[in-house]
Amino acid sequence: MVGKTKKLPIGPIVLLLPMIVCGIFGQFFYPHNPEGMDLAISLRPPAWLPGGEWTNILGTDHLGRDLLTRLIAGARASLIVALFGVAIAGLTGISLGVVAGYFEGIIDNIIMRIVDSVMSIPAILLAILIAASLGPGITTIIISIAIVFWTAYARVIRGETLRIKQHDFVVQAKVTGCRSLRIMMKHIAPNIVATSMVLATLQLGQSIMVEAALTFLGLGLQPPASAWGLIISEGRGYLSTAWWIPTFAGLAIMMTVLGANMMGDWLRDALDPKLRQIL
Amino acid sequence: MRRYAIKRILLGIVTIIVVSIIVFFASRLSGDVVHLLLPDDATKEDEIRLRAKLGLDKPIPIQYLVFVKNLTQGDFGESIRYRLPVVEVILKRLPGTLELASAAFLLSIVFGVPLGVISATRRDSASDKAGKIFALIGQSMPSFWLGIMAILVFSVWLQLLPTSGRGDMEHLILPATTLGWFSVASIMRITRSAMLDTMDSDFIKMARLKGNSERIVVWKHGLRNALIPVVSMAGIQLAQLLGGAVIIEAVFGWPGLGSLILEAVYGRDYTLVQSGVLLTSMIFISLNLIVDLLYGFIDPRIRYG
Amino acid sequence: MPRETLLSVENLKTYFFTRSGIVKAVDDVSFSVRQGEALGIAGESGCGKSITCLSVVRLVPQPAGRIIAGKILFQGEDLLRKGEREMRHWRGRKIAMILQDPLTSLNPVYTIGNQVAESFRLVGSNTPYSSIMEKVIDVLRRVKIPSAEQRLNNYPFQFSGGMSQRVLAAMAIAQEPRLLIADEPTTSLDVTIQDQFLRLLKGMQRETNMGLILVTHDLGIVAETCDRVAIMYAGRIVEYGNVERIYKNPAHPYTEALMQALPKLGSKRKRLFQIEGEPPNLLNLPPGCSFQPRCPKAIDICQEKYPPVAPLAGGGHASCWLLKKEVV
Repeated sequence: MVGKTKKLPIGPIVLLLPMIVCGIFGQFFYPHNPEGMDLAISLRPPAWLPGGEWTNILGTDHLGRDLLTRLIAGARASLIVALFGVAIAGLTGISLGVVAGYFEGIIDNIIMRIVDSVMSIPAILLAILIAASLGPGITTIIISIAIVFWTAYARVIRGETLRIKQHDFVVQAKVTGCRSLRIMMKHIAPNIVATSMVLATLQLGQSIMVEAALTFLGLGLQPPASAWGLIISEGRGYLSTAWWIPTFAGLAIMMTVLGANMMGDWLRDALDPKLRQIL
Repeated sequence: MRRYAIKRILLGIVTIIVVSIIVFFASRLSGDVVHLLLPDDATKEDEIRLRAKLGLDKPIPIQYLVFVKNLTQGDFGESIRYRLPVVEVILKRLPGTLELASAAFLLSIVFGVPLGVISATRRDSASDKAGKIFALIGQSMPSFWLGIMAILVFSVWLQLLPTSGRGDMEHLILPATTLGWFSVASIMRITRSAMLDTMDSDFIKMARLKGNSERIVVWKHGLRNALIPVVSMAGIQLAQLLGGAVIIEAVFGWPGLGSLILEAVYGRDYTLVQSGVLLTSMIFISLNLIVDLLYGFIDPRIRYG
Repeated sequence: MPRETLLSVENLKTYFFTRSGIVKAVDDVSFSVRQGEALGIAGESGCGKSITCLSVVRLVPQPAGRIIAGKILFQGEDLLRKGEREMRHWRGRKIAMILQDPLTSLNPVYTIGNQVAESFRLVGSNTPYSSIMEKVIDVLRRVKIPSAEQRLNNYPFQFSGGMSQRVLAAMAIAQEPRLLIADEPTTSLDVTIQDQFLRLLKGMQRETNMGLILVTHDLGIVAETCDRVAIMYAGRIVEYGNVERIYKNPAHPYTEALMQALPKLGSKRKRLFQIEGEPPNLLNLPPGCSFQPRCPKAIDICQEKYPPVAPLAGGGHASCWLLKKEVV
């Protein structure tokens, strides 16, 4: 955690709120049309530099599209992908983790072997492999993220389940003959909510990075869509003439990921500092 | 120690097998690849013939067994684009990635460990807080963006270093540093946390009580114990590096296994993609195994237990 | 045997400055130890015994803890006036300390031989490896570690609690200190091993005429091993004097209570005596005497002012209003 342990996570909120607002309501306050091309004003620098205009505060890209607008529009894609991806990963991972931790034995072994194996494939490569088979697009990225990130949940939640199982109230439930599913849902589930939330928040940041990377490599959203990764890859060709394009897009990504990470850290410290050891 | 080693090796083998299954099926998620390989005006007969030639008309489990059988004989198939055995193509590009990854790994250890130790011993001071902020920001930056920014500053504006390609040390600096940057932050964090835990121990107090200088207490008694979790983390970092190399290779135009896989993706060379990912995973698993065995060696409780 | 004063602690105050307040862990504590003499420091957990010892070697946990007043005179020199470098020189070599839990006091990743050799090297400088190892084997034999030569290359996890404690004693012997502080050295050991270890410590004392400070909560051990004892409560010494006199004639109600709590064979009691009440909260000490809330003999003034130190007829002193007859 950076420095102070304030009660309110001001830092993360300051970073995340704009992104969330842009993602949900962005389309209502675009300064320009994100897809509006105007070659006459292409590669215009940011407003405070010579050649810049205040109508395009952050400048324009090679097709004359306003950069700020595209950045606002890009927030939406990143947020949708991250939320859905992490949600699916979470549901799958948590369920498998609870099952593995609860039943132990062979089921646990099998699930953990699969987890280990998936984690033995570097995340990017796995995502690339999946994107290669399924073809580029937003659904592909969501699926890739889900497949790459579920394993972290499975491992952590399994550990938590094992730990919770020892507690008396679970033993009691078993002794009184509750059925396994009921025990899992009623007793174990509420106790892992905290950990899951922290993990989910931390993973939001990670998944945005993975999504940006995949899009940058051309395996995600395709042009002319507005996505931060795309803006960076498009801007790369104009690095010497229009440095602002990739720079600001990257800053947008960084702010969001930083906000998510800080939020996750704060949540973890607020809910249970002991989690530091596993997360 | 022997039991530990055997158990780890067996686990490694099982993992490789499961990985091969995953990779095999992941490549076939949207049906077989035939339709990607056929030209637009191909006829149904062409399709059937190509399918038979590639062995794709057999049921999937059989295909997998054939796949495995070939693997054990060292036959990873033939690259569709290069028309050469995949192994040959990969081996030619592998050294590039190894060079990049090892340079990055070395950087992360050389900088990460001492920074972590120093940060732990100067707890709560200004430099410690600075270190924490640096680590936090460092881990929030997309690697490809950092690479592009590095090119912007050092190649375009300062004209100090080349923008891309592989060659001598000059070419290696930017990609290796960019790749290693993220590892430095992680290694530093784990070293710091491991050191903080260790320095609280009774035996550290004892070391001081005996009259050892603080330097010896920290670096001889403390670090040696803290290294144990750091070695584990180093193993995890290797995976990140192998994956991250793909992106860095793309950004810097560095010829290596990662960029090879990407080219194969763009070029629909599915055999190459599949084998490239599989091989990379196998390297990762082996590296992890070595790290595990090393860990067992460093910790006398496992070595002699 | 000559009985010079080795250590003289005068009005020592060590406070902890925490976010919840100031903890007066050691509050105006004075005692002394002579050569060849064993001083016991006894009291419940949290009374300040360990911090007192750590203060003597100036290893109080920082940054919260600080020695803010007093003198620690060792062989005439005030340790509190020394810089860290000099202190390092004195630690181990002149004043050695053994911590409570032997299993965590040894570094798990280095061999026993290596760690004992380190103790020798810290006092003896550059003797060649082989001769140091001989000394190591010798000292391990002296503390009765079986098969010392083979055990050189063992790691701490391969040793039991009792043997680990003896290794720690060996490391202390190696440095030939003038004063040995043992912080609850037998608390985590079996009763049978306890006895052996205490005898080992006494043997060391006889051989080298070193001073011994034995910290414990067990008055039985104090009775067997020590010449004098300081009874501590809530950071202060409430009674101080010869072991014999205190056992026959405890002056402070707390000491009396501790005596009663000792199980006696043949006693008709059905239940072990327990001192009423709970140990004091050092962040929130009661005004007046700290023991007063649990004292069966408390009088009014006990709640108002802390009792002054009263010298006792049989030697030593105690801090209790009941001893100041004029006030009563």
